[in-house]
Amino acid sequence: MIGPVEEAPGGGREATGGPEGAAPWRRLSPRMLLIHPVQEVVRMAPALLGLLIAGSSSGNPGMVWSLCGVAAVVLYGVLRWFTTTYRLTPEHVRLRKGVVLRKVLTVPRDRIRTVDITSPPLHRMLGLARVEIGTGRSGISAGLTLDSLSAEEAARLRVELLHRRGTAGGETRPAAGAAPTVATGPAAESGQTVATAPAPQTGPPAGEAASSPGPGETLLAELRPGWVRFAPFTMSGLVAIGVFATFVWRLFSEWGVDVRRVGPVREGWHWFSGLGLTSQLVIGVPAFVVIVAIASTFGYLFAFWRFRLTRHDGTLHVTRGLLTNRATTIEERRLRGVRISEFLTLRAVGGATLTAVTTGLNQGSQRSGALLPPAPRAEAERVARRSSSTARRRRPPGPARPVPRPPVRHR
Amino acid sequence: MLRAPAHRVSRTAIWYWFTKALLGWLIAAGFQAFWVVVRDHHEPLRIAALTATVVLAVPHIAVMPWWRYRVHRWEATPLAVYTRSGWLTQEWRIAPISRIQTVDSVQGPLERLFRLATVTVTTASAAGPVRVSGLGAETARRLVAELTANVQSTTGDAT
Repeated sequence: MIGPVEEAPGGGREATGGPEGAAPWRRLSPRMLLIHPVQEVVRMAPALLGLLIAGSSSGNPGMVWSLCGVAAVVLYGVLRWFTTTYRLTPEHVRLRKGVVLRKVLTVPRDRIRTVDITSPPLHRMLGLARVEIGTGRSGISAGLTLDSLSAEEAARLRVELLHRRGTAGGETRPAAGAAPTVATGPAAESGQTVATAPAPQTGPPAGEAASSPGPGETLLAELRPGWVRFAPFTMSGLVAIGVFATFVWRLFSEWGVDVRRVGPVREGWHWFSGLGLTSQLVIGVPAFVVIVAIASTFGYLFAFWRFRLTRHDGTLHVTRGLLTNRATTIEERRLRGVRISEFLTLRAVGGATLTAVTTGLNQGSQRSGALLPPAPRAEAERVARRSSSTARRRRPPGPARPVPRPPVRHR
Repeated sequence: MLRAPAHRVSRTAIWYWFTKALLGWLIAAGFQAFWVVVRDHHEPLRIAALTATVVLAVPHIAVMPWWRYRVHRWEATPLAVYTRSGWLTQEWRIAPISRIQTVDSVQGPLERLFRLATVTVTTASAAGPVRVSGLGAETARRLVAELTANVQSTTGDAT
């Protein structure tokens, strides 16, 4: 296992050669040595649990087996750190990884569209952040994930990957319209200051680096506490409850326990089925609605707490999250448009959601392209105009605002 | 008529495909043999299944690797990546360099044993990535470096 690890960096250098061979291969944060094993144990939990159950029926040796299983998984987690290296050159970002299956992933710098920085609670505690680099290809193997770097390193990387390239494509510069300095030189410099500014102050938490607007930043939207009133109407709680229920159900069946035999559940069910159909509906439906509303509200707070949408140097930047911090950066010249959608129940109370239409974002999670939490429709329209305005203004190279912008249409 | 891509894959790939197929069939046949030995009814059915496996496996292992070697070809120019792969079903694919999103190279344990690598070129296409398998590890590295350099020199949106 160690052999290919040690030969890996050398092999890369001889292959690429030339001046870029000078770029050093970097490792992930050493603090990942603590997180990787935990991640692997959690990921392997069903298998380990199965091993434990199978083991406990055969007495003492079974325990030994399951301990061996845990040890192997932990070892694998540690090896993950030793086998992962990455490198930035002026042309590309390259990641080498894999314990058994060796992979070398290369993303040309020019193809990078989005940078997504996520800090789940465990990462936050250790001051780490996961960086996902998105390309025009969307899907599971969409781009390249560095899990994880220190928060400062992640913030630096984001700026380096997106903003420095903004300097090359100078026509996007007027995007930072509200900033007093619009000339190319100062704006580029301010980009650099933002890059370095968060470094000293961000000790522990990742996303908090962006809590104060930097020099070149324009604030487009921010979460207002009043918007939480829309949370119960998003119905996102339905999904959460579904996931939770499935998880509990699987856990119980994994342990071979019949949920209907558990004391309180059985008595509750007994009491409920004793009622007539009318009373069942009268109690059941409101109870269900209340539970969904509560779950939706929690989901809203977890996802959108400290939500901020800013524009900076040709990119849109979203930071949000209560426990898991997320920072998504979308290059504006790759933004194809915005979408306002009004879910039935949300429409009933005058709310709407706003998402970005772009490639390179994780399509799996609905909220990764969110430009606004569920909010009043007027607000969604306002932000839609502001966030898509540069795309429209860029087309005619004439005066700044030749025609009044058409209102954003929605259905 | 389309001309075939210029380069063949590494000759070692024949033995890699051979070993891979052999291992796969051995596992399948092993399970079936175990079944024949252990259980004591439906004997004829299980023996028939095992026989069928062997009858399918032998020609596959004996023919597929060499056939594949004759088919698999690749070529990378400053304009496009061009591949031909498969054996019974053959696929010809061209990905313009200007559409390339990422360039990956993957080495599984068995590939590492044979010093081979697979280069995967992803595009925004819904048809999935273009793969060049059975390349020598060194060739794969050069191909990745060359592709990346070419991609960087063609700016644009790539979707």
